Amino acid sequence: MLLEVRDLGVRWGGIWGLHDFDLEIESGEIHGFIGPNGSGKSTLFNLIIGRYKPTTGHVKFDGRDLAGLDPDQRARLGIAVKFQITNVFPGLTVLENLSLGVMGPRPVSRLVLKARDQAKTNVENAKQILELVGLQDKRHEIAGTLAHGEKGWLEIGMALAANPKLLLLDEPAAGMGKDETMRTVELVQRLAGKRTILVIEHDMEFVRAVAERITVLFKGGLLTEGSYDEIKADERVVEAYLGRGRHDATA
Amino acid sequence: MKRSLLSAGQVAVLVVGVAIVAFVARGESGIQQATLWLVLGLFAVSVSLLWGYAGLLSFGQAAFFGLGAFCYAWATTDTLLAEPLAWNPALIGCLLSILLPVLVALAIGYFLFYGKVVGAYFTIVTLALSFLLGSLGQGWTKVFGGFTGIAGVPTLSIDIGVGTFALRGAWSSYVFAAVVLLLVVALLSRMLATPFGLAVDGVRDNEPRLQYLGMSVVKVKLATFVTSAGIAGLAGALFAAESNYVASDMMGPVLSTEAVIWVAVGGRRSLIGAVLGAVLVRAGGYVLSGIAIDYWMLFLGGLLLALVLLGSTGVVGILQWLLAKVSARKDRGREAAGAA
Repeated sequence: MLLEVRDLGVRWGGIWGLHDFDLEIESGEIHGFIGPNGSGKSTLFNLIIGRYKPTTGHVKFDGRDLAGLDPDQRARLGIAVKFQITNVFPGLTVLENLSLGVMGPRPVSRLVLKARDQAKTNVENAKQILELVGLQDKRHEIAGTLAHGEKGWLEIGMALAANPKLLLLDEPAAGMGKDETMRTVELVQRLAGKRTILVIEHDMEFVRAVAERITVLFKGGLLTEGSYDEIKADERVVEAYLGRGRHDATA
Repeated sequence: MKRSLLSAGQVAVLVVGVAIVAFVARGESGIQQATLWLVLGLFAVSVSLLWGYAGLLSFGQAAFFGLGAFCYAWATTDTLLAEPLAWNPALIGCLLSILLPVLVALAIGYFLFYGKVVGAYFTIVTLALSFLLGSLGQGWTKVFGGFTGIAGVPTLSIDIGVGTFALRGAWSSYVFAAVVLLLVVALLSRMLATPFGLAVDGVRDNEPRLQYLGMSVVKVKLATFVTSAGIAGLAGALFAAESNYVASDMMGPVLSTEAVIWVAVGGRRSLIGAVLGAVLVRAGGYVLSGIAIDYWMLFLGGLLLALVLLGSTGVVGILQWLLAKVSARKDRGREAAGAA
C-alpha cells in the first residue's frame, strides 16, 4: 500500500476541517475526490503534503509515518502536488519552471558540485515533460504571461518532472474551458497505470473519465466510497452533492 | 556560460572607464578615490547577490563589511594583540575577513531561516544587527577603537616566500582591486549559471512552490547569505587596507542603507549594475563634495524613494530598455526597407 491515512483530523478553534478520516491507496491507482465546497477535500491534500499539521491521526506513505516532516522532506519522499490556485514561478520561463521541478528533490550541495551533469539532465528531463504537457512552443515564454489553462498544465508538468510516486491534483480543470478540460483529461489518462494519482474535481465528467474509485466527502468527514456508478446511485450523495440538480454539479 | 563571461567583461570595461575618467579629472588622487569605489563596488555585488538574486533585502550588510575591515585591522595592528602578527599579517587578515563574517552569517542565518523569519521581518533583523554592531563598536574602545576607530592600518603586503607582494602607489592598488573585483564577479556569475543559480531564482520568485517541489529552500538561502557575507567581508578588508583606517560606523546602518541605494540605482538583478551604482553614487558625492554635499544626500534619499516607488530596475534596466527600443526600431527600419 502506497498511502495509508488513519483517523486523520484537523481542528481550527471549534471547527473540524477534517475528522476521523481513513483512506487506503494502492500503487498505480487513480482516485477521485468529490464533495461540496468546504467538505474537506483540499484540507486532506494539505495534510498529506505537510501544509497543515494534523490534530489527530497520521499519514503513512510508502511504509513511513510522515508525522513531523516538512513539505520539502515529504516531496523528497515522492509526493508532488498541483495546487487548487495555480502556483508556478511567474517570473521564470516555462523551461526554467520545469527544470526546477526536475531538480526539486535533489540535495542542494549537488546543485553546485555536479553542476554540469545536473544542468544537462535537468534540461533533458524538462524537455520530455514539455512534450507531455504540450508546451513545446512556449518553452522560452515567461510563465506569468501564459494563459490560465497553460499555467495549469505547466504546474502539472512541474509536479511530474521529478518522477513522484504520488501525484495530488487539486481541481486540475478549474476555470478551464471545454477544450482545455478535455486536454487535461487526456493528460491524466496518459498517466494512468504509470502513476498513483489523487484528484479533486468538481466536474463529474472529469472524475468519471479518469478515476476508478471515488471518495465522497461531506462536512469534513467520509460520506462514502465506490465506483462512479455506485456513487451516482447513492441516495446520500445525491442529497449532499448532486441534490441541488445535475446542472449545478456539472457546471 | 556565455552570460557569465559577458558579466565579467562588462565589469572590466567599466573598471577601465572609471580609471581613465578619474585619472584625467584628478590624477593620482583621483585613482586613489576610484580604488575605494571599486572596493565598494565589490561590497555592492554582495548586496546584489542577496537582494537582487535571492530576494532577501538586508539593511545590515555593512555589519559583515565592517567585521571584515576590523579582522584586517586586528591582524595587522597592535589594537587587539600586543603587536601585529609575525607572519603575513595582511594575508591572515584577508582570510579572517572572509571567515569571520561567514561564521557570523552562518549562525544568524541558521536561526533566521530555520525560524522561518521571512520578508520584512528578515530585513528588520538585519537592520538591528547593523545597529547592534555599530553601537558595540563605538562603546567597546579596546577592540573597535571607539569613536576614533583604528588608524595606521597598513596597506596590503604579502610575503610569498620568494619575495614580498606589496601594493606601492595608486595604480598598483587600483589594478589589484580591479582584479579581485573581476575574479569575484566571474566566479559569482559562474555560480549563478549553475542549477544552484536557478534554485536561487526560484527562491526569489516563489519560495513556497520551490519547497513543495522538494527543495530545501532554507539551505539555498543560507548558502546565498553566507556567500554574500564572505564577499562583503573581503571588500571590508580591502577598504581597510586602502584607506589605512577602520571605524565602527563601517558596520553601521548608514553604510548598510547606502549599499542598498547603490544597488537600487545600478539595477539590483545585475552584478555590473551593482558596481555601476556604487561608482556612480560615490563619484557623484566626490565631485559635489566641495559644493553641495548636504543636497547630495537629499538627492540620494529622493532617488531611492523614486526608484522604489517606480519599481525601477535601475540604470542597467533603463539601458536594456533603451537598447531594446533601438534594436526594435532598427528591425522595423529593415522591414520597411525590405518591403520597399
